[in-house]
Amino acid sequence: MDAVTYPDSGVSRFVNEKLVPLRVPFNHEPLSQQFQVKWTPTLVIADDKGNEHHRTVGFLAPEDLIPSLLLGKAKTDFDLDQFPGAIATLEVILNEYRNSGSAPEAIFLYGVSRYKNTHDPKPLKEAYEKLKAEYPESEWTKRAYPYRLL
Amino acid sequence: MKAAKVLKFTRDLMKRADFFNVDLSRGQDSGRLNMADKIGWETDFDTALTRAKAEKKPLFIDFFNPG
Repeated sequence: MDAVTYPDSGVSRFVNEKLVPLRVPFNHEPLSQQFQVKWTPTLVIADDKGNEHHRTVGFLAPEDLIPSLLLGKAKTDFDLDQFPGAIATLEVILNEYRNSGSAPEAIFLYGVSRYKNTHDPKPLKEAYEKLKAEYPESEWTKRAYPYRLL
Repeated sequence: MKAAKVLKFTRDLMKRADFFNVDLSRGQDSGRLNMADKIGWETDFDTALTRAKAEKKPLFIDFFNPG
């Protein structure tokens, strides 16, 4: 991450602007134990109480790290019932990072967040149809499969 | 075309170095990053939590291998 991803100016600007970055060695105590770190790099998105909402393990290139961090930010809002914030962040992934590995999960969560925000089930079906059309092999397409009936 | 191949080779090399936790830029100026662009890492959990609360931002924790 130090050789390619973190020196990327887009990554560093994004991280400094949107997140509070904390860097600790993998064997840091008590954090290593608290977050059950087993491999590096382990990247965690947590809220301001230290509760984890998203995690990746292993190298991510700049073009994949930013959407992954955006997904983590959206999942934090979602878990805290801040659905408009989650929706806004997910729209950034869907519009600007649709080829990233985070896109299928973002589509799924976008449908669920819109449903939770409005109680209208239509976004769930839209999420399934978009996943089926654009990412037919994704596990998130399988997870959204029941929504086709709505 | 040749320049593009050299660029791709260099990028691949950097990715491999990243995988093996080798810092190719140590001891020299890589020229890819201004000081102002560096990530402003916190190193203390409580300080980071306080900042996260004040700035209303999520925490991004990188557990890394210092080598």
